[in-house]
Amino acid sequence: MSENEALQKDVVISSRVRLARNYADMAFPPNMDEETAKEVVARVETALEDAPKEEHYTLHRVARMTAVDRQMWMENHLASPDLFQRPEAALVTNEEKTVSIMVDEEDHLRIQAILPGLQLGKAAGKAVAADAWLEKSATFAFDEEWGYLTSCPTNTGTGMRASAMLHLPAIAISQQIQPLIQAVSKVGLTVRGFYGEGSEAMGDLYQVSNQVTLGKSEEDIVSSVQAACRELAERERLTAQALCEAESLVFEDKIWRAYGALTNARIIDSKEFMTLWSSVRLGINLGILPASLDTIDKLMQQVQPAAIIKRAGQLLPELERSKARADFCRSSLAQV
Amino acid sequence: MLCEECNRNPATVRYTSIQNGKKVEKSLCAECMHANKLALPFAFSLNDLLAGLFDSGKTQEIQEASDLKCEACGLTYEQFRQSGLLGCAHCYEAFRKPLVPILHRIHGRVQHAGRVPRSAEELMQRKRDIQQLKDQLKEAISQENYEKAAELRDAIRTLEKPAAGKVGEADE
Repeated sequence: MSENEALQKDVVISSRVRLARNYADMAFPPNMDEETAKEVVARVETALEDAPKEEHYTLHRVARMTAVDRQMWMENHLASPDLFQRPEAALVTNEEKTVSIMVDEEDHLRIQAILPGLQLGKAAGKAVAADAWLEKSATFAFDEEWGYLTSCPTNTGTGMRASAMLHLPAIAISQQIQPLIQAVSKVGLTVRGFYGEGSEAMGDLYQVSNQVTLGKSEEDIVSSVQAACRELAERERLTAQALCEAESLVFEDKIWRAYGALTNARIIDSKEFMTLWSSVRLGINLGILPASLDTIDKLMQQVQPAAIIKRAGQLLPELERSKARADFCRSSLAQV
Repeated sequence: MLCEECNRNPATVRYTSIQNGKKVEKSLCAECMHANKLALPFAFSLNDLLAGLFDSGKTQEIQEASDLKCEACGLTYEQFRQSGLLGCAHCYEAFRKPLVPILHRIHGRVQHAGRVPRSAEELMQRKRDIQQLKDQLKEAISQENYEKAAELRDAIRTLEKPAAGKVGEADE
């Protein structure tokens, strides 16, 4: 079995685990003043001395980040927009950018590990390891009955959110998303569109995560999300196959048209890109298109707005960005 | 079935609303649902939902809770009810009574079953040890073994001394 197959990368884009932690003796972020916010960052700086040296952790201060940097951290899913609401806040990341710690977001610490494909257990291990070194010099808010105490009672207990980003184009085309959301909610999990608002999911990307954080162990949470993702991935594959067989000509035409646009268009905005990307990715998974899964997955990160601006070395108006995106898609897909 | 609003797209949502006291049902497509900004459950913010969760108790309990205030950070229960966010670790103690049903509604259970921080682990172990010694003390007294009882009492005192603070204040 190839690595891609083992990690179910055809359907599962990435796995994330985050832990919410607060210092016991300080007001929580939504209720704290600037001085406290600074002190939280100072504590994390001290704690960094206990971090394993080989991980090469770095602390980045929000106040010193450019707008493009902030956007970049968000595009890479290492920070949330809320982190940047506070100039005193900071972001800690390891060198390989698999672990990030948001400091002064909704909780004092939001420890997060992100890995490609379906590997929630490994991601949880990484987050817990970071929790262990952060804890050495600190006393976290904890209650014997209620576990780790967080700003929002929806995170109380383990403070853990285990989630995976899934690409479900076939399930979406066949209008099965709504029943799926209902089915998944019955086992204490939630599914929502990853990009876009409400029921709209750009690129057919959906996030599956646990809803309950109190009364379940970390292992139970991870294994229930992991099991649901496996099940959904299998359902997606079967649906894609069935669609392919039932409407093969119409289906193939749709995929080739998307590929045609992605490899020939001169202007592609982000929304259109996500639509084309989704069809092309499905075409690659079904063996219809020649490109590789790794290329198309990398492409999604590479054509996000901040990534384009970084590469150009200057701010670009939207139309210029759309042109740069189209150029990049052409050259990147021509290589295969 | 086509959307009853635009008669163009296939209907995907069954929308029920109350208009002038009458139940009105419509089958809509996602676009019309969105365009009309019709109230969908997911259009509520999380905090609105939480506020809703708070109010489903008995009137008297709500009244009692709304007078509560956290002495450590100054957050009132009313403020918590509006924002859905607690102000500090001590708030969980100050609002303990009204928080029990809230946590129960969110999570379905109210007993933590996950990881325990190192500092709390030591404290919990010490608590268990003290309880064990106390049980032994009771037994020693009932057996009129006063020598052993004195030893046990001293042991309990030694253990209890550093544990004067609660979880969260340890190691400080």
